[in-house]
Amino acid sequence: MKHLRTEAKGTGICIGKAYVVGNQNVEATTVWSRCDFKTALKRTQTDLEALAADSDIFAAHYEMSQDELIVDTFNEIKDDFIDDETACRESMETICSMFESVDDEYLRARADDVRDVFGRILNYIEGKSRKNLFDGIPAGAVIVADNLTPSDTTLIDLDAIGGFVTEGGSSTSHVCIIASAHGKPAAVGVQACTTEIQTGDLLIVDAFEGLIFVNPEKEVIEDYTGKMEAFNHPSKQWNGEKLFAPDGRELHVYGNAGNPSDVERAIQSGADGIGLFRTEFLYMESKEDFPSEEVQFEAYKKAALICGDKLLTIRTLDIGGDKALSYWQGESEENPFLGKRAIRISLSMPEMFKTQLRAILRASAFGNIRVMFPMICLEAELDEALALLEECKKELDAEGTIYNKGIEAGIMIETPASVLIADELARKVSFFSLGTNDLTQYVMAADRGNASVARYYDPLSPAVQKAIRLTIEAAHRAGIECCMCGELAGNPRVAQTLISYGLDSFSVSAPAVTLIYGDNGEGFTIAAYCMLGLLAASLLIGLIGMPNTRGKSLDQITRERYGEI
Amino acid sequence: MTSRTITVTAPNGLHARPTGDLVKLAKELAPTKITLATEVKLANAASMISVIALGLKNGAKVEIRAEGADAAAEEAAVKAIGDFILSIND
Repeated sequence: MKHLRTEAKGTGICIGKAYVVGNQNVEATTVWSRCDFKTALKRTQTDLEALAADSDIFAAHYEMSQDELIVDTFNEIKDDFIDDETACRESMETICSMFESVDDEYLRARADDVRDVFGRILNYIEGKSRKNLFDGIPAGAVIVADNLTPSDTTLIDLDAIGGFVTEGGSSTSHVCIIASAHGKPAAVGVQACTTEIQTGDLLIVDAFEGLIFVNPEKEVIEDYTGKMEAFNHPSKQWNGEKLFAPDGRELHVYGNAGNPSDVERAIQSGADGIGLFRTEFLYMESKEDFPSEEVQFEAYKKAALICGDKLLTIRTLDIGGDKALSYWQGESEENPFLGKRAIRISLSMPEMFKTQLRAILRASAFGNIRVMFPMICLEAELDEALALLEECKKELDAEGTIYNKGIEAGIMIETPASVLIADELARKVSFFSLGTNDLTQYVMAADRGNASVARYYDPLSPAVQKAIRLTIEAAHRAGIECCMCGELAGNPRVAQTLISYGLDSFSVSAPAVTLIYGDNGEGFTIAAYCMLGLLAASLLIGLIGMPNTRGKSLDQITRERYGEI
Repeated sequence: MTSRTITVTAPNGLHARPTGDLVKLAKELAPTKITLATEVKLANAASMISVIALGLKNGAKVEIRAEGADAAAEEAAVKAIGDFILSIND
C-alpha cells in the first residue's frame, strides 16, 4: 500500500478502481475538414450555446466565446502569422498571459477556461476532434488524470463514477466545483498521480484529509467503508450524551478541521468541539503576503462562533520548509521533513508569528479557544513560543483590546524528542495532542508516502504504541489532558485500547466523529464501550463474534502482527 | 462618471459562472460603459475574459465605474452591478 497526498482539502470519500486517462491533446484524430478562424469560432459558439443550457460552466464558456477580446486579439495579430491556426494559438497565449503573468493559482485555474474555449476553436480549424477518452469507464471508477477541463468532464457520466484524482488544479478548479456539485470527492494537486497510479489499482480517496491510498490493506478498506457509511448517512449522529471511561474520567470526541466549513460539519456531527483547527488554509489562500491579523481574526472568530461554548483548538502555522507560499519560500533543504518547518518557521519570524497569536487571542473573546504549537522538540522553543504569547497579551492589554486572559496553551506531541521530555513539557502547558501521523513517521524513520517502507510506517508498531503510552502517562502525572488528533484516533478498532491507555480525547475528521462516537453499525463505538463498561463491551464484541478484524482490539492486532510486546 | 467601491463577499470569489452573469448584465446596461477597477488593473465589465483576469477573490475590493448618458443611468448601472456582485453566494 502506498499513499499520495495533496494539500488541497475537499469533501467526501470514495473507494474504487483507478481509471488513468492520458494526455487529452495527444489523442485527437482528424474527423472533418479544416476551416478558418471565423467559422471555427462560430461553430464553437453554437456548440457551447447548446452545452450552456445544462451547465453553468459552459454558460460561462459560451459567454467567454462571445467576448470581443478574442476577435480583437486575433485580428490584431493575424497578419503576422501565415495561417489562422498559428494566429489562433498565439491569440490564446496572449490572452492567457493576462492570467499567467501573476503567480496566482486561482488565476491560473481561470486560464484553463480560456484554453478550453480556444481548444474547441483550434479543433475546428485543424479539423480534429477529441476522442472520447472516457468511453468505457467502469461504474464507480476513480478517474486519474493530469488535468481535467470542463469540456473533459462533459464527456464523463459524473453520477456513475466514484471520484477524481488530478495532478493539476487547486481547490478552486472546475473539477472540484463539478465534483462537489455531484457529491463526488476530488483530490487535486496530487503530484505524479498518473505515474504512481495504474488503471485497475484500488484507490481510496479521502478528500477531507487530502489522502489517496493505492491498493490499501484490508483494515484500511474496512475503516473507510465505515467512514463512507457515516458520511453518507449523517443522521446517525451522536446524541450528545456525556461519555465516561470505566475509571470515571470524562471522554471527549473532537473534530479535526481545515477551514470554517469543516468546523461546522464536525459540530453538526456531534463533536464536543474542535481538537485540531489547522490554520494553513489562511496562508495558502493568501496571495501577496502572510495573512493579516484582521483576516486571521475574522476566520478564527467565525470558527469560534460556530463552536459556541464548545472548545476550539487552534494550531499555529504548521507548514513544511518544502512548501512554497506564493509570497514566501523557505530555503531549499535536502531533507524538508527534518528541516525548518512548523514552529521552527514561526519562531524564526517572530513578527509573522505574533500576527497569528494576536489574531487568536482577539478571537478568544468570542468563544472557547485554546492555542496549540506544532513540532515542539525543545523546552526552550516552547518557552519562546509562550513568551511571544505573553508579549501579545501585554500588547493587547496596553491597547485595551479584549481577549480571554485565561486562554490555555498546549502542544502537539509528534516528535520522539517531545515524547522523551514530555514530563518537562507537561509542566508548562495545559494539554498535549498526539499527532500520530508525524509521530509514526519520526519514531519509525519511515516516510509515510514511500511504499517501500510501508512496513515501518505503522502506528500500531510497538515503538509508536510505547511512545503514545509514555506521552499519556506524562500528561497525567502533570494533571493535564492528553488528546490524539492523528488518523489513529479515528480508528474505531483502536479506540478501546487508547481509552485503556488513558487517552482523554479523540480528535478526528467529521465523518469519523459519527463513526467512532455514534451508531456506526459495527456494534462497537466509544459510546457503547463507555455505556457498557470495559467488561461488558468486551463481552459484546465476543458475543457478536466479529468474523474479521473489525471487532479486534488494537492489542489483538498488534499481537498478531508483532507477537507479545 | 459615477463609482462605488465594494468588497467581494462571494466565498469563492468571482468564478466563471457568476462572472458570466455579470458580463451579461453589463452588456444589458449598454450604452453605459462599466469598468471594474482594482488597485492594479482595470477591466471592461462586458468582457468575460478581462473580468476573470482581474481575479476578484473573496475579500477583494473593487471599484465599479460607470460612464453613461446621464447621472441617473450611471447610478442605476453602478447599483445593479454592485448589488449583483454582493448577491453571489457560492
